[in-house]
Amino acid sequence: MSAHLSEWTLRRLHAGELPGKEAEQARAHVSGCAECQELVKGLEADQARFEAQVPFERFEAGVERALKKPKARPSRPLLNGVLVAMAASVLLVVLVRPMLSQPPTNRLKGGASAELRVGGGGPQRGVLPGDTEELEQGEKVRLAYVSGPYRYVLAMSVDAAGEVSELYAQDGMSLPVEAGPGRHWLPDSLVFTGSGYERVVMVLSDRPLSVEAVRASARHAWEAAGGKVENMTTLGSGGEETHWLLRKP
Amino acid sequence: MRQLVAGVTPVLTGIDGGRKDRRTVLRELYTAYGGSVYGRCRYLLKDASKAEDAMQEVFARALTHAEGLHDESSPLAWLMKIATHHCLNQLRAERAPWRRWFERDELARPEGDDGARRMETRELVRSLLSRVDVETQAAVVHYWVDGMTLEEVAAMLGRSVPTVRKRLEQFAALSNEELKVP
Repeated sequence: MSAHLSEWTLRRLHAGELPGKEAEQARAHVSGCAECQELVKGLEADQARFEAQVPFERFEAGVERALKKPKARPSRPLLNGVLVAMAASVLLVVLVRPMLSQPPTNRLKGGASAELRVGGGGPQRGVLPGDTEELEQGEKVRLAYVSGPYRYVLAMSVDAAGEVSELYAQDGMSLPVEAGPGRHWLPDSLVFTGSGYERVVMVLSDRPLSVEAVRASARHAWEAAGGKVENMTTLGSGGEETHWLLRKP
Repeated sequence: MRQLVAGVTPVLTGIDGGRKDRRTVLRELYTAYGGSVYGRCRYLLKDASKAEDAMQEVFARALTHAEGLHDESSPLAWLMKIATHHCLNQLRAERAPWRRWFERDELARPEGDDGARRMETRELVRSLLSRVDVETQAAVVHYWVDGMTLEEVAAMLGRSVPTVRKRLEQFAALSNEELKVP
């Protein structure tokens, strides 16, 4: 054991979240260690300074305001904003109907499923997971899911250069799934820029996944596939992945 | 449109396991973690007003994702991870002019009374952050600023210890080994 406790352990002790025995040992160490005592005093001073700068009432009001603020829409770096509203209605009203009889969904455990639909340019169609779909100029993509037993959803894409983009997430983590058993469309539609392959991946999971962790895994997976996005088989996200490969015009 | 669970009363057993009203939960979060989260936001954003807004977002998120926090063995780790990520993302979204950001260093009010050496380390870390990818940024901040061990950083980021070590060593090279990982 090292001479001193890690600063992180002291932070946890100060926050009162170390489990009983660990807390007891940590307190015993601190009581006999001037250096650790100094660190704890520093943490206490930080908290006192914070409370003086931001009184609880102001903090509470600010958090309440943040709760009421309309949430930023899930990030869509490749979204064509002008076409969003129009595309949504076109895809939902016009495109969905003919495909209901044979939805090209990916069936997952517990009745969960994932869908990708293309529309707005050429023929409106669903894409089977694992298939490669040629996109026409200006075509848009929408994603939907049935959550089944999963509680979180995340959508990412990887382009031919290995650039990993966050399509649907919230504050850098998976989105909580919508309540209800039916199919849920992720908001708006996506237009992918550039040309060549784009791998779209939806990840359903039991716990929220960090976008950065998935991005890093995806990057490794792309490298492991020899830098060929079309050869990738998994992002290694730790969730239930559904992949679609699109070829941009 | 997405419905968030802002109205749901969270159960934060990480604090004491009881089902409480939102105000009580918020007060406990404020007392236990407010200083740490605010300090993280100040450190990265270098602007009191932006830091306060970011901190409020983080705690609002804690309330709406009460289950995520509940599942964590360390709510502090969860909050610091979210705060770090939020601030790094904000800097990226603002396309933070990193050079100007560093030029403001001298104007920034020092935080904490941790001694000159620790301040120097924190400033050195910050001055080099823009030169690495976002995952390395997070690893570096948790290791050098939060004082986590390699194992704790690895667990937080879901990476192996050797991977985290490698990233920290790459970062150390940028500092002429001043930030060498023991």
